[in-house]
Amino acid sequence: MTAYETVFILKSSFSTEEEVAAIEKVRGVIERGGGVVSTLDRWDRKKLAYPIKKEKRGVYVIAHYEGGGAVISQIERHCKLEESVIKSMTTRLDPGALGKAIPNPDEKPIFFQEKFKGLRR
Amino acid sequence: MNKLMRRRPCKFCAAKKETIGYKEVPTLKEFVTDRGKIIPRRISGNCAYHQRGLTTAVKRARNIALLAFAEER
Ligand SMILES: [Zn+2]
Repeated sequence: MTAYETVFILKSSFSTEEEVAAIEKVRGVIERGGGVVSTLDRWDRKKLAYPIKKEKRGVYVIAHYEGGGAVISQIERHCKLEESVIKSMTTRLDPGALGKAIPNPDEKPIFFQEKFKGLRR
Repeated sequence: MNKLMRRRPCKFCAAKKETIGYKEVPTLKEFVTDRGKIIPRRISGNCAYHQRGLTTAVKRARNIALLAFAEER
């Protein structure tokens, strides 16, 4: 069993019910693939840095789970077929980080550039 | 110019931050130029370890549309 994190971008035009349904579908896919879901949470509705499939905004959902290779292929298949998912990305996760999916919005960023802003590079 | 060339300490070591995640967009944006390119280590002063982590994080963030690949000007 390996720990994974998958980010899904869902269509932002969904109603709350449709959104919940799309998230539960993902849960079903992970469980059918033999995965154990740790957390599956909505992160935020965000503006995409570049349009994907003509969508300018998306709802970011983050799943933390453990599983074998079968889960990953199931998820990739789901994302290809399922129209509610605009894009997804799976990364390996340090098992110690399982469950800590949503970043703390109050955490202070590390600053570097203030003095360089406007410099052309 | 002198200011740019002076050796500066790694910002992540200074903050005692072990890892940089791709979801930490405000931090990632600090280490990317207005055009979206990763600022080289010789300018930012990051150590090799943290620059490697930063590069991975920026690339992942681009992949999932949290950061742009290139910003038009
Ligand atoms: Zn460092």
